Amino acid sequence: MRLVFSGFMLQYVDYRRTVDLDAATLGHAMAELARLHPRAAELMLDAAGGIRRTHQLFLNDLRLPDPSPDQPLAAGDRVEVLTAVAGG
Amino acid sequence: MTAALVTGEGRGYEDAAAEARRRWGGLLDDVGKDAPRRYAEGTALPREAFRRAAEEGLTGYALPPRVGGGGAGPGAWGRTQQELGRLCADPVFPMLVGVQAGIAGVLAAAGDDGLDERWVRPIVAGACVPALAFSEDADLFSMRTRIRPDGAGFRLDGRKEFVGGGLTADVFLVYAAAPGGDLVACLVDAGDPGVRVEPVTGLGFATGASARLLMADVPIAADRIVAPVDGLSHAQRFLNTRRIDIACTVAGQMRTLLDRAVERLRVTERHGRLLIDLPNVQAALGRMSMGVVTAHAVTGHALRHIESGRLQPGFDPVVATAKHQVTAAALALVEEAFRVLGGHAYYGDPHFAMAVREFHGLVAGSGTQEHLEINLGVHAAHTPGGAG
Repeated sequence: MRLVFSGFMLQYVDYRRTVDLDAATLGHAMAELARLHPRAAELMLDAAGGIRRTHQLFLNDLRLPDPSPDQPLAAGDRVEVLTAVAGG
Repeated sequence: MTAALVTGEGRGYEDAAAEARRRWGGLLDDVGKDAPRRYAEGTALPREAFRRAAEEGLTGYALPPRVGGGGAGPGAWGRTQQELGRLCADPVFPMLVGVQAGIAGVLAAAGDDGLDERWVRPIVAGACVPALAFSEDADLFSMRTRIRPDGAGFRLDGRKEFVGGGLTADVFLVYAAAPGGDLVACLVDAGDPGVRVEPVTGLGFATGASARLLMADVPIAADRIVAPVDGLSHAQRFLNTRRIDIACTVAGQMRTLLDRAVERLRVTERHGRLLIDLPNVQAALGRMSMGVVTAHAVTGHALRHIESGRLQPGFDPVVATAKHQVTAAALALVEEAFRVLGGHAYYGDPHFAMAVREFHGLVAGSGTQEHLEINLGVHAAHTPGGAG
């Protein structure tokens, strides 16, 4: 599967727009992301392990309103991460 | 001419505006008295003004009745803020009331009886004045204010560089980085050991009692934690709602500036002619008027969007567009005013100089214009055809 980043998150994945991972669920994908890009995973996940609500996830262009770690993923799936944050 | 005719808004706006004038016109008159002199001196609005705003039901107008609020919906609250912006000669007062109401709103939204009793009800009653402690001259992912576990509670260290209303606040809503990179939202009492505030000045917000908040090893009890996890999203939700508050207030302020410009141009002669009869002046007024209508149109659209239940928490493209466009229109309006009013805007009527200062603050406030543009662009890439 492929994770797709844009905007502010790019700096935490070495400015690569796509990260290809071998993962069968969203939870696996986040674990893989944590191994490759720990800071990106920190910013994706809250302390309880859930996807922070400030990120919107789109699975093959369909928005996941409440992304679960158990969300199954197939080999060709594309999960796009939309991160709209401001302030500081 | 009625507000509805000027702005294209309908009955809902008129009703809310009339209600605001009836309930809070006296308060706004009192707060606005001598505002230009106080603004020029940098004299802070008295705490009493905020106590009175709460006691007269303004601060809690949109809060749930269970915490003593008025239960007004987002549309009525937004239209009320437009009228506050229009009526109040001190541009800072409605902004600070909006922040205070927003803080009470996010605390009430937690649905925690303890938070309600200890903080929300006192804020709504005027017994406690809150302030937002967020900005620290860092990006959102690099906040240097830190919170760490300490026994059954926590300890807080850091500084917030610009806290509107900080000198007169009783409690601060502070965002701090926790071990592991998460953000935590917590409440810091102004009297807590290790807390210090010192005055700061900026380009604007001159009557806003602005402060730097310094925190050194401040003990934070567990019940002061508002958002124990994902404070990042908590902060974004807060800023999201601030954007519509700002847009509404400024739209009202723009109307008053247009009125003041027209009033002056109607009686000012140059080369034997009234300025208002000159085509170039009329064109400038036309551009200013379009700015006012645009500001009311985008805020009205955003308010209807929120009322329909379509507000996206965290980042809403319609609300962000409203804040961005109102800011741009406000800056353009005040520049036009300087062009046609000349020295009168510079030294004759201090409201225009105050507006210049305040409107430039909007460029940075609640998400810089640049940040909003980036976010809107990223969002547009996912929602071809527009955001609604």
